Amino acid sequence: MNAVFPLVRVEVAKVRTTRMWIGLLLGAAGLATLGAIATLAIAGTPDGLEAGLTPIETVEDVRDFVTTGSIAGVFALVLGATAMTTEHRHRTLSGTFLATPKRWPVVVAKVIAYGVAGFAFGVVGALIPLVAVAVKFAVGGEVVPFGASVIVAVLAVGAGAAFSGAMGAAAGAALRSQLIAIIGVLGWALVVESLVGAILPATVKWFPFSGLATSLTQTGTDLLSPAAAGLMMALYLAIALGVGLAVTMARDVE
Amino acid sequence: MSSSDIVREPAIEVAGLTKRFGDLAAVDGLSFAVPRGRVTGFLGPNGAGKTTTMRVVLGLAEPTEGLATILGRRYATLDQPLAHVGAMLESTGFHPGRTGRDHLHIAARAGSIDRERIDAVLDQVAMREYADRRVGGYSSGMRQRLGLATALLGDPEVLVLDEPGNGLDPAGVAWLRGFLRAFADAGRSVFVSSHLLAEMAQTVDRLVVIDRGRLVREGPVEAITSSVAQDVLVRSPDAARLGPALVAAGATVSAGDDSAAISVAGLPIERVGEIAATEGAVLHELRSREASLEEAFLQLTSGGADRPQTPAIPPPPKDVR
Repeated sequence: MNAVFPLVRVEVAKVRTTRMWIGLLLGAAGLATLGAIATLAIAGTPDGLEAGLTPIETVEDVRDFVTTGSIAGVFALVLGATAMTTEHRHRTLSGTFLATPKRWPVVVAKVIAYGVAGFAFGVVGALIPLVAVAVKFAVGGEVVPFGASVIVAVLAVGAGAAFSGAMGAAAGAALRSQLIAIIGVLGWALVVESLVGAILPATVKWFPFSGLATSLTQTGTDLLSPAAAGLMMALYLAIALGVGLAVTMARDVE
Repeated sequence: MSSSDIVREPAIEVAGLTKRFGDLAAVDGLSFAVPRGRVTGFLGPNGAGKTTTMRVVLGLAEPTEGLATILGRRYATLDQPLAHVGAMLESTGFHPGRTGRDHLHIAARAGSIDRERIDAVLDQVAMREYADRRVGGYSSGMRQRLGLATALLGDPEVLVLDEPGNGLDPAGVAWLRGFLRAFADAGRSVFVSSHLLAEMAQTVDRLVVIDRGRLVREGPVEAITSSVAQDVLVRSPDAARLGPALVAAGATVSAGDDSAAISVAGLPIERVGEIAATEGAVLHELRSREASLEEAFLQLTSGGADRPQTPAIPPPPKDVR
């Protein structure tokens, strides 16, 4: 792994020196903000209660509210899907592999770097509802209920988004087209998992983006334990990375 | 060349290289060597397999058969390859949203190269002034200079350049020519493909000429140009009468620079002179002309097969009286 860690900094620099991440982070923050404001506006009202949105009063309520920031994981997934496909799109991959001709450390470094970026997206996404509810309490002259479980929830949302970013990078490594990569990961996460989940609800807990990510932030009989969900995430990531590595190692570079 | 250069392996060695894409052999049993301390030109018509060969040499494509080594090793096995080999491929691009300096910064970090080299190479290609602009706003010449700066970043022993003159203005081409010459004179090696044959003739020491993926000729430039058929330049006020007589003797005659000049191929200069004497033609000039690199290239490859030929001398008009 000595070959990988210096390249993680290179990949982070590649993300930082372009503007794609800014747009996606603004998108994630914007949606998280809208979701938080809308939820706070109707939680506890008759309409809200009908929709299951009870007033936010306890530490547990705040913890659950923070997980609405998980929407940032979708944007982390898209960012990850661009990791390798951006290099194909702008024909920078030959330069990348001239510097690192063994290739595999580049792919592993991308998965780690986009996992780190995804974690940051998730934390930002989780902090937005936390700040929103804190402001609402402050306006009412109160202090928001806060505890360690809220911090754990923020980190868990970050972990889920980190998984999304890393999965996007690993799955995208096998593809050349940026458009196909983005449509592919979004189609899987938002359409395929929802459709199959509606037909076979018992399978939802095994799905990488709906079931497993939810398992990190919530508990329930229809979900895996956080530890089991973490193991399943590692397995999914290993499979996607294996495919991405196999394709990258075998394919000629244009 | 020093004695140590003689015993060292070539800068680049290609042995029995074949690269197939399906049924198409882009490179077919190609073997050649690029010696150290020389500028070696890589010539061939479009689609001859030059870029594919360079990509295999640089480890970006796997050969179907054969081997390509650089400094005696496969590129993929070089430690810190950018410190040994600088490369610029025609197909390589840049992220348009990144500045030139950021591009070099990333390349330096990926290649474990000292960041101080960034300003050094920017100065070398006269791009420091534009380094903090996004590459999307660069002209093609500026992109070409940035590509060269990237290739030079690791202060390499070997340069592999694919059409480096593309997009450069005449001053840039002249600079490139001088730079490559100085680079080789310092004992380093250059392997450069270009379709700018006149520039190539002025810059390179040796040539590797390929066509349809196969080696056509390899050696010093002079040896290659002198090995192809030469022609004889005849300047005569009687050219219109002399031309058909030479054609009748088996020569191929084409128009020269002006109406009084003809170019004669297929006959030795002595025979041309004898025919002129027989025809009573006045000669203002009669000289053997060595083929230019362009003429040699067209003769050696299929590069001229699809081009319009220089018009042959039409038969003299019949007198209408």
